[in-house]
Amino acid sequence: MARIMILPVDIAGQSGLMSKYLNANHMFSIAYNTFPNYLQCTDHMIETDLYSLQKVFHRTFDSFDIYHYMNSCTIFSDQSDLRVLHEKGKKVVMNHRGSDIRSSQWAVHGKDYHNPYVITKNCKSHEQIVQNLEYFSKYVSAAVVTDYECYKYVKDYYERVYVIPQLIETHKHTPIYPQKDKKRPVVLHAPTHREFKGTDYIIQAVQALRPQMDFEFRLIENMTQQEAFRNYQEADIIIDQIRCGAYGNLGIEAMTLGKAVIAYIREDLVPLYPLELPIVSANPDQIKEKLKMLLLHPELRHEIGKKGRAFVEKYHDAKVVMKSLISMYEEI
Amino acid sequence: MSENRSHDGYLNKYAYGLASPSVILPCGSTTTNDHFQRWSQKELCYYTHYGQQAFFNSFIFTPNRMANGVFLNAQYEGFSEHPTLNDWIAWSNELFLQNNNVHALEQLASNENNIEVWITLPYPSLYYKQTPNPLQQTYIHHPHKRAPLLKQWIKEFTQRFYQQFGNKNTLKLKGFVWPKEKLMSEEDIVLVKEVSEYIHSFHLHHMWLTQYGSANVIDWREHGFDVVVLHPNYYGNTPFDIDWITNNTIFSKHYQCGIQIPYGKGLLYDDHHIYQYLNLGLPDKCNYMNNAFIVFHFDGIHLHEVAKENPQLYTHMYTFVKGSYSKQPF
Repeated sequence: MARIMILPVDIAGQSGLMSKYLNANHMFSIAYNTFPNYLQCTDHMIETDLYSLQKVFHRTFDSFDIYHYMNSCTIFSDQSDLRVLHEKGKKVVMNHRGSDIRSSQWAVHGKDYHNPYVITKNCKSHEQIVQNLEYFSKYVSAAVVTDYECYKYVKDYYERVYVIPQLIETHKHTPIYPQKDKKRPVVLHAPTHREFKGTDYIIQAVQALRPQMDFEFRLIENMTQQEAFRNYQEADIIIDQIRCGAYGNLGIEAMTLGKAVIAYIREDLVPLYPLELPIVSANPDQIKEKLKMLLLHPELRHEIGKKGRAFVEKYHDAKVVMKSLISMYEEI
Repeated sequence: MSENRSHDGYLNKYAYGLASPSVILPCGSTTTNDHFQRWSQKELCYYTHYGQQAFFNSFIFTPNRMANGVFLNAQYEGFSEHPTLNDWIAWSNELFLQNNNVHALEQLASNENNIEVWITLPYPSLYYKQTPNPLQQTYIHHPHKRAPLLKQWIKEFTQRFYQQFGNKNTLKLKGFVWPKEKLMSEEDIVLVKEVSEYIHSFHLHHMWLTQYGSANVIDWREHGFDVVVLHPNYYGNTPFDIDWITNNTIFSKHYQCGIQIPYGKGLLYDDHHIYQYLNLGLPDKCNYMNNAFIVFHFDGIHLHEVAKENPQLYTHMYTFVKGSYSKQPF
């Protein structure tokens, strides 16, 4: 039985969920979060701090086989824990989540893409990212990324990179599909970082459309995940992130709830996603037009909502994703 | 100025009339050692006595891994199956084991060397609150059961202690230590306050051993603690340099806390860290040797091993505890 420690931070409850499903799959796992935030995702996680993890680190070696790190964060500021674990013969996984690898240089231009919209102010500097990846690649058994946007940034640094999507417990969320006869649809946007998500463009589009169309707009910020979900349930159209080029956690949550989702999918990434990805792609130049299209067509909202739910059940459901994760642990 | 505050701000060495330094005695096995630690008189005499002289006279019994493999130490929360009420009872029984632990200390106590005892409480974990084990008879982590069960444990332990040692003037129960270094969840903050009040109802004290930089330390009085002692996070072999000891003392003076002195073996520790701690405690440095409430924490090593393997250091520790230590080169 593999014993897996997931550490030292959590992003939107993902570490806790992974731990929960690993335990359900007859593995032994715990997840530590040293970065609590307003989302308050605490299920199946131990809230602690780095001081505590530092103190017990050298007492963990007999208790764990695999150390699954999240978001380029380590226990010690000099990242020496990765080297020590490597020397001890432990398996180390580095799970990149986006902001830790979305370099200003790589996110805008690549061999087969150009993204003038992306903002990387909330990300680490290019130099720091390169330094991290060069260091990690010496000691990490495998890297995990959530999608092919991230894959393109790290693929040259690791021998093994696994694309394992974000997971969600679909059975816990009953879809409420957009009603075809709804007179005043609800459009919702929930940024964790306004500039990165493209919130200003979304608000501009909403303001431009308001005189022409009747709809409600909700901007959700600084709410716990539970409170936010209550709002999502009432929405018809949910706008995720429109600058980065891939959909994020909000897009997955929105699809789970059966909503029509808008996010910008970078052109080079479209063929890398499953064909049935039902997200309406819109960048800042297209958001007004795509939002208008969805507002004008309630049947389309309903249809996209249904496809979205089917998509997450097939590709993001925790039970499905866990199979990939466990296979990865077995391979490394 | 509070009588429990030293002239420069620390939690006074003699706060509440308590003995200091205190020393942590881990019980049970660890993550790296299957040896099940039960403190015998033979081992404890190296702590209570330096030759014929009295040495430490305050002790904190702390659980590690119990005989069934379950960790009661909240620091290792999640490393094993979560504890049940039976494990809590086992911890209490372990403490009262004949000729070991508290009884062994009692045998070493004398009119010339009174000994004070602190007990680390078991921790009702929050981690498993979403997945209670249906096989468990009592969900000690259940939100509505955490406080009553913890109080019940305190009450039963205290009664048992007074039944067995109540007529002894040489061995005193001084209080309980909160089991978790981190106080992060709202549930725990509420629980701590309730437990503090309950401990005070026995005229006992509530201690918190936490780390410099941890959350909610500055509000320790609101949580009902009497004694808060901070670990400076300096080990010698990590990126944190000795400024962390100094910075910790500045913080401790401001917020009236005591100082933890770790001495350990293993990856984190270099050979000199203990002398950094001892030297910085001198009056012309950070001045905690004679001024602050101190807790010694031996990690992966016992004092009887120090006495045999490094008698000079053992002597230096003794002089530090007695306040006569002078700066040592290393």
